Amino acid sequence: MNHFIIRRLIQAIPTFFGITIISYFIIAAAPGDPVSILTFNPRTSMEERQRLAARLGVNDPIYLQYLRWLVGDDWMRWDTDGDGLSDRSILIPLDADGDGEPDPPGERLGILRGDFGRSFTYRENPLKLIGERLPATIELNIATLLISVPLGITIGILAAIWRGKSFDQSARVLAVVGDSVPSFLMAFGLIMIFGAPTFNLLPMGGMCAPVRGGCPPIYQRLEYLVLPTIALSLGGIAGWSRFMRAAMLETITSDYVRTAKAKGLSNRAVWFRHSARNALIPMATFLGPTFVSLLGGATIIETIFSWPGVGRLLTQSVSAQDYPVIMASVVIGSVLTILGFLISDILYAVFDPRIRL
Amino acid sequence: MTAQPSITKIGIPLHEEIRTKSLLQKALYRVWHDRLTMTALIIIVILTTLAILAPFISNQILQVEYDKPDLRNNYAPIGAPGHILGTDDLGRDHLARLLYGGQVSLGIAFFAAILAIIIGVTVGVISGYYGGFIDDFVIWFITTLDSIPSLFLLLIISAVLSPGPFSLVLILAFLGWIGATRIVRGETFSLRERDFTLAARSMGASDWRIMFVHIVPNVASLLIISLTSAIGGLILTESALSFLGFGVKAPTPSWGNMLSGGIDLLRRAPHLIFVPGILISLTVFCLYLIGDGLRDAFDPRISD
Repeated sequence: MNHFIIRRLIQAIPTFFGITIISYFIIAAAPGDPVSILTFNPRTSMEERQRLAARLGVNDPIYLQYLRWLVGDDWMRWDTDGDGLSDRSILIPLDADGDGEPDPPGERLGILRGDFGRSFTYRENPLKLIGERLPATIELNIATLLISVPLGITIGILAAIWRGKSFDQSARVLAVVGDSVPSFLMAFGLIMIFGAPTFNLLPMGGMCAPVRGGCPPIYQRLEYLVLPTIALSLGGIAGWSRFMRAAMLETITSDYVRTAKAKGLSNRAVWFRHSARNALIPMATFLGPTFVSLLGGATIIETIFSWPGVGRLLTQSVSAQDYPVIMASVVIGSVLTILGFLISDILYAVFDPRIRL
Repeated sequence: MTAQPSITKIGIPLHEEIRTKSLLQKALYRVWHDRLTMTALIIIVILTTLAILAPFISNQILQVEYDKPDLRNNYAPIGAPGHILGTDDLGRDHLARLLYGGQVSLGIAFFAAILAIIIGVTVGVISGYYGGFIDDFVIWFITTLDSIPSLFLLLIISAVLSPGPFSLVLILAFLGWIGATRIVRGETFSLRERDFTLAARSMGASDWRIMFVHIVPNVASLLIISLTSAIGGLILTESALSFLGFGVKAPTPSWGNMLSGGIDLLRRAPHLIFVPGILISLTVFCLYLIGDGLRDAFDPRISD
């Protein structure tokens, strides 16, 4: 088992570097240069700009810039005698700006050590911004999973048991509908229904009533969770019920179920003790993809319901072209995704000893 | 000559006996008799035709212009004189905009899906046929792309490029080929070991000929099925992206960005939100139904 987990963790490493490469090169294609963003002062002379550009390394080949972004540049040049000027260096010339004096050591730590630079709009570490908003996103996602997984699995089991009957037919239609209605339309429908002035039961947005000093604990503001959770759950219910139905049908026709029936067990015992339990095993593999789609879906739902999560931070930063925050959200979102896939693979291995080879 | 026992004697003409239906003929027969799939197909054909005819319908029949604002006449309700589905916040005819928006939304999804399948087939068949290092690299790339939440990736790409309809096709295709690659790669693994591949190779066929003349036609049915679902998925993706304001940009209408007025629009004129929203859902619903129907029709395990 440990062997399996270690192997999966090692497999995740090239994926992680792939993610950093792809996202860095996409952002590197962006128009506009960092020097003009950093020097607002129009009186900054051309020479100073050029010196800054050299210090930032924006004229270097792109793979070098990527490496600096990844691992920082503080260790590439260093200062052995402690006079504030670097006297040793790898990869970068000691005197990048060409003013005849060695440069001071670099200050960037690189994203591997959590340095994503500074947000252009918030003037803060992007990781801190994401850390502040992550609990809200996780809260919404867990609420959605708690609704959609049990409901979807129950519907899937019942649909397989009553295969071809009217329940199965309507569950199938509902599953296709759940897949084809965009989540934002679902959200608007809910707002239309519950937002009517005469029927003002549920809050239409936000995470809690605006108060100073953050929101109260979750059990005091459950009503704010209701609408976003419903809007986000429907797609999940559709997917889970369809997947569970297929898995259940597979076990229902298998030999051990026929044996159980031949022993004279009641239908109920065969369905729930023999079929459903085994059909639940492959569900573990579905957790990873569900988590991924939740992150994306939450982006839209968070925007509509002004839920202060990571998704809304991302859309706001994309509008503001706040690249450090965009990069940080993409990398963190992908790391969470890799973790989600990892956990679902491990769960699968725990439940199904056959794949632990 | 005495009568020889022949099949024609028992009432079946010989040439009809020999002729068996191909897989494709059987599948088409099943689709033709599948009422649900045919209904969905007819709806898609109608919607596509209306979208293609958008300039004709809006100029000749409705006699409105889809892009001419008329601020004195905005937020007209459904059934207002001269505007069957009312007007939007700038007073543009809603029906005409829906038709043009359909052109954009359906067109983007259709061409992106085709392009994605072409890329997916090429990468999948090469990776499955050669295996080894190429395959390792392809698998690494696919796993990587799959690990970035696709909406996140789309958001950063469109933040950088601020795309028009044409570049949006390229972007969606660039992200959408993975599914087809997975299918084709898996099938190629088994097909390259079959006898017909060996026969082709022993007759001196080149690798490219074996891949694209002998292997690809064998996965065609799988591709047709995944094409319909892919178009549906891409319509949803495009609408989500345009809704957030990062896809097709105003004033070009798409079903997604017509919804982007959001809650303010919802309060003033709910039909401006719900009509395009329902059109998106209906189209995707029908495409998924067609995909399901084709999957059943092409399934060799179901015999008739």
